[in-house]
This record gives sequence, C-alpha cells and structure tokens, in this order.
Amino acid sequence: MKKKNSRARVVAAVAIAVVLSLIFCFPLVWMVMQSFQTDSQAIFELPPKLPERMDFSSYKFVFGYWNVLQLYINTLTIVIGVGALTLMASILVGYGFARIEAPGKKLMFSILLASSMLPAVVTLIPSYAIWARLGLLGTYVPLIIPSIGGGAFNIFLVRMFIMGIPRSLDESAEMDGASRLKTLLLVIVPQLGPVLATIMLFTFIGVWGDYVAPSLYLWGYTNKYTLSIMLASSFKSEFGVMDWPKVMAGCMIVSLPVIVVIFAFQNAFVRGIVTSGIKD
Amino acid sequence: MSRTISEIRAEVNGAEPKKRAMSRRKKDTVSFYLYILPFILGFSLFTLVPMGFSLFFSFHKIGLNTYVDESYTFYGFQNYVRVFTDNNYFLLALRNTFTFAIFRNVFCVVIAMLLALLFNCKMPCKKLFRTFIYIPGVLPIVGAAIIWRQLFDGRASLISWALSGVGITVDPNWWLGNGGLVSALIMSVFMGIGQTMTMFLAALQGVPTAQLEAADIDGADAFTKFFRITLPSISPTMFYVVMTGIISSLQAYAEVELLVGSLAKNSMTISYLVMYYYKQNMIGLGYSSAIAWLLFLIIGACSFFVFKYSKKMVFFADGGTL
Repeated sequence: MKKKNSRARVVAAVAIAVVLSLIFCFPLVWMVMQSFQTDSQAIFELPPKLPERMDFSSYKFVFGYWNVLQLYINTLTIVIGVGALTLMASILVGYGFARIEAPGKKLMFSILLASSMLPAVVTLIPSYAIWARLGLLGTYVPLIIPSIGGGAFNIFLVRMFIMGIPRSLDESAEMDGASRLKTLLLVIVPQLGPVLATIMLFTFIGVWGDYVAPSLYLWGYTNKYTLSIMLASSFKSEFGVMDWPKVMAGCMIVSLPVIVVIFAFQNAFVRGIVTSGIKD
Repeated sequence: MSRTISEIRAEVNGAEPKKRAMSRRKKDTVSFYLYILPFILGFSLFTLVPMGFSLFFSFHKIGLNTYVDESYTFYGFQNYVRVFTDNNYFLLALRNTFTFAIFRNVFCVVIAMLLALLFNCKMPCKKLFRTFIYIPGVLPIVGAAIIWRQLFDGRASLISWALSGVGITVDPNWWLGNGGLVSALIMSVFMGIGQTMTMFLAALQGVPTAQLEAADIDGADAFTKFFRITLPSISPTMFYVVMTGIISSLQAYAEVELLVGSLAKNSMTISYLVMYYYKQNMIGLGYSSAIAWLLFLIIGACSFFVFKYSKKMVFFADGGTL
C-alpha cells in the first residue's frame, strides 16, 4: 500500500517537473520556432502557428548581413582576455586570503565582501569618462583590464577551495625547500581544476551576455562589436522591428554557444551557484 | 596557532625562536599584501578612483560637450537639489526601483523554494529538469529581452492571448506601455528562479534528517516541519539569496532598457535614469552622477540595516555569523 502511494507521488512529481520544464523552456522553443518561420507576418497571428517547414532563409540573411566569424572572434577575444586575468588574479588573491596570516587581513576581507555590493552604475560613467580621455574607446582595453581585480565571487571560490586542501601538503613542499609561489603553482594550482573550470564558465557566460559596458565602450565601432552588441544594435535599427524571424535567427546565433556550454558543463555551473552562497 | 616548519627548524638549529618568528611574521605580511595586490589594484583603480570622480562630478556643473576641453564649476549641492526639484522622475524611479526589487525577490524566492522542495523528492532525470529550469536565466540578456519583447508585443501578445484562455483579460498594449515594469518583473523573475532554486536545493541537503524523522514520529504535518525545521536550517542561504537579490535588483537597468526602453517612461528605474540623463548629453554628467550617488547611498543604507539585524533573523547551527 505504502509502496504504491510513493510510486504515485513520483509519477506526479515527474509530471509537474515536465510541465515546469516546458514552461521554462518555452521562450527558447519559441525563439527556435520563429527563426524558421517563412512568413515574417506569421508571428502576428493568434493562435500562433508552426512554421510550415524548416526555412533557413532568416539564417542566410543574418549570416550575409553580419560578419559572424568576426563577431565570434571579437567576443572570444574578450572572453579569453578577461578569463586569463581573472584566473590569474583570483588564484593569487584567493591563496593570499586562504593561507597567509597578516595584520589587516580581516579589514581587506570586509572590503572584498563590500566590493561585491557596490552598484556598478556609480563607477560606470566616470570610468567611461576616464577611458575616453585615455583615447581607448573602441578598444577592448576598458573591457579587459578592469578584471585584474579578479572579482569577489571568484576570489571567494578559490579561497574556499584552498582552505579545503590540507596544509600538510604545503608544508611538505616547503620542507623540500620550495618557495611560496612554487608551492602555489606546483602543489595547489593542480588541484584547483574544478574551481577554475567554474570561474571560466561564469566568465564566459558573463562576458558573452554582457551588454551595458560594451555598449558604452564600443558603440559606433562596428567592427569591434561583440555578438550581444551587434544583436542589440541590429534589433534597434537595421533589421526593422517587423522582421521577427530574422531577429530570432540573430538571437539563436548569439545564444546557441551559451546553451551548448551550459549543457556540457552543468556540474561546474551548479558548483559555482552553490558555493556562491557559502561565504563563511 | 600551529608552528610553521621554518620555526621548528629554527628552534632545532638553536636560533632564538622569538626573533625568527618576528621576522617570519613581517615576511608573511609582505607576501600577503603582494598576493592580494591584484585585488587592491583592481579595487582602487577601477572602483575607488571612478567613485571619486563620480563624487567630484556630482558637485560640479560641467560646461562643455567633450572630454578634452570641459570646464568645471563648483555647483555645491545644486545637482542633488535639482534631482528632487526639476521633475518627479527621481521619485518615480525610486518607487519603481523598490517595487521592482521587492516583488522580484518575493516571487523569485517563493517560487524557487517551491520548486526546490519538489526537486528534493526522489525522481528520475532530476539533473535534466534542473538544467531546463535554469537555462532561461543564463541566456544573453539581449537575446532574452528580444524574445520576451516579442511575447509581450501588443500586435500579437502571446501572453495576453494565453491569459485570456484562462479568463484574464489584459490589454495587449499594456505590457510594453504602462505595464512595462510588470513585464520587466516577469522576465526577471523567470530568469532568476533557476539559480535561486539551485542554491536552495543545495541548502536542503543540509537539513538535519534526524529532526525531520523525529517530527514525523511526533505526528507533525508538512507545514510545521517546513516552518519549524527546514526553513530555520536553510536561513543562512535564504539570507544570502535575498540580500544579493535585492542589491542586484536595485540596480536593474538592462532588463528595463532592453525590454521596454524608451517606450515607457513610467517604468524607469534609477539606473535607467542615470544612463538616460547621461546619454542625452554630456552636460548631464554632474546630474547623473548625483543620481548615481543617491542610489549608492540608498543601497549602502539598506545593506547596513540588513547586516545589523541579520543576527536576529538568521539561524546558524554552529553559532557563527556571516
């Protein structure tokens, strides 16, 4: 009797989960569906109708209209630049906070905590003014260099992970006469694999979808645009608001890498979200 | 305090341990600050310096239209006074921002909690379902906003159509018009649920099963168990979620700009207002900096109060604090 009851509960739970998944993925499904629509007016018909056949003409148009390869290269350049700086900084700073005792450490840690809560909009405009004065608009410098700080979230991740590594490992390396930096690079970093994957993944998602900063620094420099900025600017002007299948095809081209990467690295993603909540 | 290898080695070698320990500590201090130097640099150059400039701008009237040749006239608190007296945009944006932040987090936390409780049950393909739920939240915001804009679009609002199916009539033109804030709220909640749920799911693993079983034996119902045992033991996560959620939604900009944009003036948020004045012309630099600093002060005050009272609201099993 009890077994039957619990099986019924599992079936009910799965049924709810399926419905929820459908609801949550609906915008995605809608995007895919509309990007294959032949008739650009079909989107304005209710009830919505399915595309009659898989029609790739919207994609052809967007590939002809955008220099898609260039856009991917641009976006990846920023991802790699930001990623490299972020990894380097968060390893060093995370190690410092996890392993070295020094006066003022508590204060520095509180500053780190607080820095993650400052509203970006306060710094955004003066930063723009400074970069403009340095003549660096339309370059990736303002988008990449500020990640030298590593980011509070990433530093927390690395720090937590290092605190979980037994100190005896460091000490045996020290016994062999290794310096601090050597110990960090040869003993600790090789064990940081999962956490570094998480940081790379979040950097990728963040940079790929970033809108506010690139739209300020790159606006007007069309050949420097990232995918997101190109999509936003095309949507605002050139495609014409009416041509939804083309806009949706553009959305697909921008979003697909993120969807693929998320499915491929689910564990790294979940680890990142989960550990972000633990800040002891 | 555990002694380090070199201290022990120093003792064995017969050196004065105290002196060696002192120099060791000095060395540690130097290396600590060397290791965290990237953070110090990043924080001072890209946070403190711009904030200083922002504060400077907010007290000045900026004369010319370029960055090469502008003139600054000290303006006192005039920019701040003008924010409140020129028009009612700031107060409107303030109201919108708080409405957005509060409702976004209430809906997000409640729905995410319900979903986390559902997925905490035994069921097949759990991971896959979880991925489906958080995937809309990681889409590039530009893409997501475009899709949602189409779903709301008054010429054929799929959402109005779907709602009319269950007997709710909403004017299709309302979503991207007067209802812009509600639309941004719906999109933001939808995108935020996945991450929040994932955090709750992890926290639920830490709920003491022994207590739940004891409550079962005592005949407690599901509600009592949830509010007396589950909720208190996940309250640190809950606190973190609400705290970061409110801080980030007080800064809401991209959602509103991309979804409703200039279509609806009465759905603007403070960040939107800052960017709006700034983009209009660069003379707005002082004015928009004043608004940005007001936002900063508001967020600072909120964080201060929340942290001050967090000890009363959050239950830490080990008696620790955040």
